Amino acid sequence: MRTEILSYLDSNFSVTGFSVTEELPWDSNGQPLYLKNFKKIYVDQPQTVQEPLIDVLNGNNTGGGGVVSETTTVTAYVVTDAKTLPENYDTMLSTLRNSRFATADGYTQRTTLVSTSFESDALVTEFNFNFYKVLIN
Amino acid sequence: MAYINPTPGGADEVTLTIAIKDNTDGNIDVPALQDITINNSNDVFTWSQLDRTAKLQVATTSTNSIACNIVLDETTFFGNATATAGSAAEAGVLDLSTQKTAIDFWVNVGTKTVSGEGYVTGLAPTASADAPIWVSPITITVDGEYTVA
Repeated sequence: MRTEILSYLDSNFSVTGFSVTEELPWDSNGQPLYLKNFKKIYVDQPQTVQEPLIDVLNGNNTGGGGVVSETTTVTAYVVTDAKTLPENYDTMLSTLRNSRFATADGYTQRTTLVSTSFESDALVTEFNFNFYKVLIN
Repeated sequence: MAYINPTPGGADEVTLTIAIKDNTDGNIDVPALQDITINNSNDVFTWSQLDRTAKLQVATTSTNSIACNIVLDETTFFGNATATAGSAAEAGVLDLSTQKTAIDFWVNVGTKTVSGEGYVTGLAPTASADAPIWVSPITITVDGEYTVA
């Protein structure tokens, strides 16, 4: 899913002052890379959660099986100066939010959750892209 | 104590098998049962007597049925064209219901089997956006008594 989002951003993201990197947001000396490189968008590895949606009594040897709801979450980070927001911050927000459209096939729902936090003088904007699908066991 | 604790994949797994009456060449093992209820509902004849302060009752005939909810499997619901001709497996659950076909059925309850004759009724397939998978209730209206073996 990270690949699809990076590919979507490569084709659709063009906001002056901001850029997308294919690097993972790994820690360097205890500090995530995105805290060092302002206005660079980092996309993390996907996290997947599966939960039972429908349990069945005869799941293994009669051709049927339970149904599982799978949620894949990809998180992206971008850091800006906290005192003065960059000019295109809102444009960057609205464009990056649309990364949930990176993939469509087989997914029943796609959502984006945006949150912000402060790290010293930096504003960390975090995007959680959630993709929901149903799996048959 | 010997509680019946069905384990999927185990010998005591809950199974519902359907065959066209007197024809066991191609049965349907109904897959993906969400739940199953064996109903044995007796009618009751009630009367009053002048010498009693409470009504008197006696059980008479019963209405029997099997009620389940299933996740629809295309092959067993709509039938399998490659199954034995004239079998339940070829017809599928939907066809058995629409054609009012008389069936035999077997329900595995632990080490016992409850069986009987009846008809498939009560289908109401549904899917929703919250749970985008087709599910349906299914009722087997039992014609006569259960047999426990």
